[in-house]
Amino acid sequence: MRKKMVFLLTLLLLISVSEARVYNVNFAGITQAYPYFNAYDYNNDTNAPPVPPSESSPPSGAREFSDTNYRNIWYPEGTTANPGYETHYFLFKLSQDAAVDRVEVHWRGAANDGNDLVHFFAYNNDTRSWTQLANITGGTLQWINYTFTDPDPYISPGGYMHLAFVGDPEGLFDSNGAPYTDYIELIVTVNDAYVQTACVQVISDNVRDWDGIFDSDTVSVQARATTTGNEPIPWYTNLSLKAVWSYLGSGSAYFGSGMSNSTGEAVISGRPIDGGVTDRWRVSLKVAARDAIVDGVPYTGNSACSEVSFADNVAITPSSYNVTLIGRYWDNGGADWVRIWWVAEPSDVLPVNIGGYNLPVAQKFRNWDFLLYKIGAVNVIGPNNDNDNDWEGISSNVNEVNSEMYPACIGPDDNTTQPYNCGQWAGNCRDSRSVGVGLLGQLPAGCCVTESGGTMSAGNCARYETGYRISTLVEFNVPDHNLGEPGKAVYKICSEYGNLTRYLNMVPYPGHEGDQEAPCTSHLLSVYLTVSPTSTEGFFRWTYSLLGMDIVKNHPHGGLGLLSFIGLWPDNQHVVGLVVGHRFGIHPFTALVTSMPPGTYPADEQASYWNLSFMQVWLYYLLKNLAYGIFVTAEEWANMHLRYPPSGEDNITALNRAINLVIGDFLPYLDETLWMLEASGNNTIKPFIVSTVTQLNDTKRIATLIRSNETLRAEFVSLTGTLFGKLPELVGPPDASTGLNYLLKWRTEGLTYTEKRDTNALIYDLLDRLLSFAVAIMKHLPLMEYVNTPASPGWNFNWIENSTQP
Amino acid sequence: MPLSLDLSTVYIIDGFQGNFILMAELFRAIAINSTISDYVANDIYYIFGFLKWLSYFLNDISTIVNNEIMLGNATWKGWLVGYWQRVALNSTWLFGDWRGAWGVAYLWNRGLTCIQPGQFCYSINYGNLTTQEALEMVKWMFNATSEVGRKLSIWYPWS
Repeated sequence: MRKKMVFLLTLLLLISVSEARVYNVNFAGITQAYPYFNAYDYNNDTNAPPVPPSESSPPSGAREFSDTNYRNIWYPEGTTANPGYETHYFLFKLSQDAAVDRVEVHWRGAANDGNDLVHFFAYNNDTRSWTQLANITGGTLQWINYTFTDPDPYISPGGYMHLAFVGDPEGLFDSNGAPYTDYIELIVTVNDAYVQTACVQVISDNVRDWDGIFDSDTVSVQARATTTGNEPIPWYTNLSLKAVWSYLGSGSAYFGSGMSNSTGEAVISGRPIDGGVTDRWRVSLKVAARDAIVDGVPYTGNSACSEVSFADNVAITPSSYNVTLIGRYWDNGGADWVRIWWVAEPSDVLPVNIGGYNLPVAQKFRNWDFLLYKIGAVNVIGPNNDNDNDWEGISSNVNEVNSEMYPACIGPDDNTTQPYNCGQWAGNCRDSRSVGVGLLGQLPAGCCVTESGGTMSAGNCARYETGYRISTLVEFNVPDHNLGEPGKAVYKICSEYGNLTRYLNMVPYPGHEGDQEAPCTSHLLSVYLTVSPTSTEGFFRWTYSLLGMDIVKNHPHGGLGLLSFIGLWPDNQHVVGLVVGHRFGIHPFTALVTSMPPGTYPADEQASYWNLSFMQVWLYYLLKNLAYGIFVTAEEWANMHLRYPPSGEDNITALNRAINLVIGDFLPYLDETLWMLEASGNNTIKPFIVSTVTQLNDTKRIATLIRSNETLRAEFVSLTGTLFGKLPELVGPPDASTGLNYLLKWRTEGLTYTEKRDTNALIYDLLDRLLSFAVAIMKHLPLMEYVNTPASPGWNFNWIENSTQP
Repeated sequence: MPLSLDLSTVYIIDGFQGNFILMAELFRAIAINSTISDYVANDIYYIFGFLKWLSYFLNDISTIVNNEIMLGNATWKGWLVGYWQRVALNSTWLFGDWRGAWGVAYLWNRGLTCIQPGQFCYSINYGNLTTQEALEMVKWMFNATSEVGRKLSIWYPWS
């Protein structure tokens, strides 16, 4: 016990005497203009460095490192005619000798070649001579680490320290000893009694409070380093940008650095992503003076005045996305699991610019990649479901298909390796389509088929291959080009069809997804030939040739018709969304997906894990993420008047205009999907009905699980609490000062008559389509009971058997 | 193995049951959790505030619609008149007929047929089960309403 006390006392004593601050002095960020420590290169006849002329000067004839070599000390430029004992010479201004308790030197470099040497010298001010402290041999990079436990003799009265790394050529005819320096830093321990406080002042910046930026945007601040007495500190080496957050977790990170100039002013810039700052709602951006030794004065940045915030509550949105979503998938094959992978690369994510300004938390997506992968659920009770553990990439019905090898990429960026490059229909788009078809007539230019008007028209894919993020909402749409391209080629060679709808309508279901061939009479070389193309799915998977010509090139990654995602997306870890779409034109599906942490969902091939009990794990994250999404949305909307004030560059009317862009993006697309479902007749409406009742069946399964599992039930209560607890914040107070009320007020008062009218027109158009779609569904519903042919499938139609691979 | 008429009827009833269960859970959460019923009582004020601004917004839309039609905008006339016409023309397919062969009436007819003795839904007790789930929801709905009602005088006192 007594021993312990003594030990503790010693420890306490040690802590109290070692009141010191440790500085890392290096060349990072420093340029030739910097006056207080310098790097030189010079040649000498002997391996002992000459005595410096003064405490602050290098030996005569020393050449300063070039500016590029300064940034991070690096191999200086070529040697001179008489290299001899070439030396890298470093002159540091530290602090007065009494202040410095200890100095560690860490040099990384190499000698000129195999048997050459590098001698490390330090200049002793007391003896006015150089002391050799270490040597290395050989041309490979290595460290010299040396610690001055009593640095006093090596530091001049003015605080200077001279270090020399002398290259020593060995060998009879070797006259070149030029060393190689990769890096040098000094770890300097300074007694606290000598440490002063550095402060910063912000002069101007490019981010406002409640602003929103991309994590790849450059934040730039003009600031001044000062003493506590407001005197500027010239050449302050360690100014940084700092992001601090305490909302939804707390933390901080530095992401940019800079040095003040001779008047103490600095422009500091950096990108949040470089400090790992991304996907955060309320970040304070600060300028920070961090510990540095400047002109012999050790400064510390640990005071309140050392960090000054220039923008609070900034939303930092990702500049790229790579998100996996897991969920339930319903189609006429049954209720299964689905894995979705959505990737938007930096060039795919654009800001939404309204009136010349980028709106906070508003992004436009284009050319993103998408993979939808259905996994046959194991042990799902119910007659109408695909075989256990059947895997299907969206592109194909082959169970063995490997998603990594054959991803169903939609809109990939690389048009040299992938056949789809929507958005570039002018000239080079999908030239492969015209191969062989030239004899039958050229296909029209363009890469998409959009024919709700009944005609084949070109190039609307850019319009559809889009997406937006506005606040916590994300939506994106896939165009119809994958569906349209083979379809277009088929109805171009088969005189029966003439347009996409006729083709989709006239070929019975098993001829699209199954083993039947589409009937086809081709007017080839002025002769009518009865030919037998494969099924629609076959066109996606194989190239179809006729008389040695490739008529329909395969689209092994295609087959997805239209698709749309809409979801609550507060951040990449908490996503809940709905996906609707159809495959091969005739296979409608819906899916409810959510993000899950890695490791909480099985790998694709872990067949037995994709079963019904996985539903509990999945539901847990679904409920959690939904509650989180509501929470963040409410917090965000409660501050809508601050993020989007009534006036200024990011005003609420600009937000309303951005919402109009989303409506203009999403509704015509949805309209197109519904049109396709309706226009393709039995082949789409009947599968849609089957997938809908499958979903209803699964709804009960989900509801029962939530009720019977205590954890899920508690999560459901928590979700309900979040919803009702956050409702006042979501809608805002009745004076419309913020929240949804504020949005609606300014939607009414801010937008022009034309803007309001045109957006409403889109809604009316969709309503019209929805009504027509509802009629089509209700008309077909009773018919499901009576007819059961491939041309008109009903309840008893075996969708799975009739989808057997050709 | 394919679906059948019976199973599809069960699936549709499943949809109703699933929604009854979820709504019952929602009302139950309000009824058993004092914090949540407090939230809901407080929300009433905000819901009416929202209705105010929603009405303001919808009123503005109707003004635009009215204006466009008065101006003789054929597209808008087509939409507005079209909705009524489409519903009217397809009312049999949408709502149904006396025999219950079409529309929503058909759905009720199918369900009713299925729960009759000797039919499939009867054999799996689906009529009773659906009623039970519906009553559970109604029970919790009243529980929730009374919990919220009890708190109104606290949240909205006379003076």
